[in-house]
Amino acid sequence: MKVKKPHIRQLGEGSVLIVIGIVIFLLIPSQIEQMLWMETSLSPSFFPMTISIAIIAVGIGLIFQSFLNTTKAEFTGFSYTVLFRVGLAVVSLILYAFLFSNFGFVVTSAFFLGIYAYLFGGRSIIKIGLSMTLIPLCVWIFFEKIFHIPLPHGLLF
Amino acid sequence: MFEHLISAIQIFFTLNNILIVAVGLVIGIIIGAIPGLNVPMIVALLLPITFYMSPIAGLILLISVYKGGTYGGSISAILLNMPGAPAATATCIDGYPLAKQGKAGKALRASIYGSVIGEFISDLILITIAAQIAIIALKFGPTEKFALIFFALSTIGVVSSENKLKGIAAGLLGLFFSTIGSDPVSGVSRFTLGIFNLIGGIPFLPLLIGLFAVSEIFIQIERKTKAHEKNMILQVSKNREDNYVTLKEFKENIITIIRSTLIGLGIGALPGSGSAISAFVSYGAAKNASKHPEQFGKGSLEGVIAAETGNNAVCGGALIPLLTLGIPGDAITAIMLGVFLVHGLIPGPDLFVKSSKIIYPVFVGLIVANILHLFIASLGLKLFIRLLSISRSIIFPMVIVICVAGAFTVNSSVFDVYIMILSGVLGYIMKKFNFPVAPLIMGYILGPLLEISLIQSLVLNDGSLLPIFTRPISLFFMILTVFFITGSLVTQKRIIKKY
Repeated sequence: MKVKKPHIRQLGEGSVLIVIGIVIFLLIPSQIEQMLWMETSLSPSFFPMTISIAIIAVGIGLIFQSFLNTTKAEFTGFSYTVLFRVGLAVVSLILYAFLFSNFGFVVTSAFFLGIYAYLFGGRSIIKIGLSMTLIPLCVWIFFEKIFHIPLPHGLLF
Repeated sequence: MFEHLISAIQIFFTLNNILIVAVGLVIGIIIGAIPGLNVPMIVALLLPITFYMSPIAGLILLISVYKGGTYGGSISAILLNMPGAPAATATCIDGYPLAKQGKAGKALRASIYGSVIGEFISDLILITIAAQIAIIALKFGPTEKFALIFFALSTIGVVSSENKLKGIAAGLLGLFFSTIGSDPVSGVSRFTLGIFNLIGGIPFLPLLIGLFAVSEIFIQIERKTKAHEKNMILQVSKNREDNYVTLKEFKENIITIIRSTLIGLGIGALPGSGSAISAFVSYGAAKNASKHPEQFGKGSLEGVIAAETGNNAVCGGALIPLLTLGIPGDAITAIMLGVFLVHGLIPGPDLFVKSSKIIYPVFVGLIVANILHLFIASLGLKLFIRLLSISRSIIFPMVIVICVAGAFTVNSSVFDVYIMILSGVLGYIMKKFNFPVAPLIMGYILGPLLEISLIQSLVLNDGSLLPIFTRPISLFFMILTVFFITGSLVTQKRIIKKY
C-alpha cells in the first residue's frame, strides 16, 4: 500500500531510537557497577554511554531527515493476516524451544515441522508425514551420530 | 625454496593426501552451508582424528575444512538469505537479491571463482613472502589495531545502501549488544538484567542465525501460498547468461578480486581479526570504487565477488602469523596449533628450515586444495541450485529445525534458542522498517575489539589518544577512514544524481 506521509513513519523510527538511547543511558547506573579504583583505564560504562548518546544523535538525525523527506514510499505494512501468521510462527517456535528440552529433539521437531509445513502451504499429508519423520531423524543422526554433538534427548527420544 | 617445493610435490602427491583434501573440502562446504554449525566447532571435533594421521595429512585436512567452510557459508547466504557462517554475512547483501532475480547460478559461480582465486593468490603470497608480512603484522600494537577497527567500522555506512543513518543505527545497536555481559577489562557485569546466562554476553551464533535465518523465515511465512501457485523457494532463470559468469563480467571484476584478496590477506595476517571483517571491508571498498555503486544491495555481481574473495583470502593470511611467529590469527588456526604441537613441530621462523619436509608439502596441499575446491564446488553447484526447486513447505521448516539444533549446540543451552528467536523477531522488525541487518552484525563483531584496543592504547599512551594520529600505521588507517567515508558520500551523491 502507498503511505501518504512516509516522513511520519521515519519520525516514529527516530523517536523509537531516541527512546532506546535514553533507556540505555538511564540503565547504566543500575546495570554497571562503577569501579572507582580503576585510574589507568576507562570506566566500564564509558563505551555503553558513548553508544547511547550516539543512538540518540542518530534518532535526532532521522527525525531531522523525516522533515526533508517528503517523497512517497512503498511500505509493506502489517495486515491482520500477516500479524496472525508471523505471531503463530513466533509462538510455535517458543513452544518448540520450551518443549524440546523436555520431550526430546526428534519427537518435538516432528510436531513442529508439521505446524510449519502447514504454515508454508504444505497440504499433502504424505509429504508432510515424510518430512516430519525423515528430517528430525536425519538432523539427529547428523549431529549426534556423525559429529557427536549432543541434542536434547528428553523423556521420549 | 624451489628445491624444497619440488621434493614437497613428490611427498604430497599420494592418493591418501588427495582424498583427505577432497573429504576436508566436502565436510567444510557442508558445515559452512548449514546455519548454526561452524567451522571452528568441526575443526575442533576433527582435531583428535588428526593425531593419528601424519602431520601433513592432519594439517591439510583441517586447512581443507577451513577453506571449504569459509566458502560454504555463501551457499545458504545466496540461496536462502541465511549466512551459513559469519564470514558470509556480507555475501547476503547482493547474493540473495541476485538469486531472487533468478540468477542463483551466476551468484554461486561468482562466489566460487572469487573464493578460489582469493585463496589461491593469498596462498601464493603466504608461500613466497610470509615472513615479510609477518614482520609488518608484528608492528600492529593496540593503537594500530584501534585505528584498523575504527576504519572497519566506517564500512557500516557503505554497507547500508538506502539510508545511511539507519545503517549507522543498526551498527550502534550491534555495538550495544556487544557490551552486554562481562566488561573485557574489569570483569564487571553490564546490562545482564540479573540473567546468569548473559554474563558471557549475547551468544554470537544464535544472534546471527536469528537475525538472518529466522527473520527470513518470518518474512517468508507472511506470504500465504495459494493452491495453484508453484510452491518453490525461488524461480531459477533458464537463460544461460543468468547462470554463468561471462568472460566480460570476469574481466570487469579482476581489480575487485585483486583488491579484495589483498584486504583479506592483510586482515587475516593480523591476529584477532577475522574473515567477516575482511568481507565487509572488501565489500565497502568495492562499492566505493565501483562504476555501478547503485547496483550494490540490489544484486551486484561485484558485491558478491568482493565479499567472497575478501573472506576466503583470509585463510591464507591467517596462516601467516601461525607459521612464521607461532601466533594463531583466529580460533581455527589456534586449534591447528594443536596439530603442530602434538607432532613436535614448533611454529616460528625455524619451522621452514627444521621442518621443511612437512611444511612445504602442506604448501603444495594448499594449492591442490584450491584446485579441488574449484571442481568440488562446481560439481555441487547444480545440487545446490536444485535446493531451490524443493517445496517451501519442506525446505523452510527443515531450515528452522537445523537452526534450532545449531543454536542449541553452541552451549547446549535452551537459553541460546530463546536468544535466536528474539533476534529473529528483532531482525524481522528491522527488515520491515528497512533497517539493514548486516551492520548490526558488523557492530557486534567489532565492538569488543574496538573497546579492548582503545583501552589498551590509552593505558599504553598514558591516557592520550594523540598517538593514533602520530604513529604512521594508525595515521594511515585514520586517513583511509576519512577517504572511505568521503568516498561513500560521493558515491551516494552519484547514485542520487543518476536517479
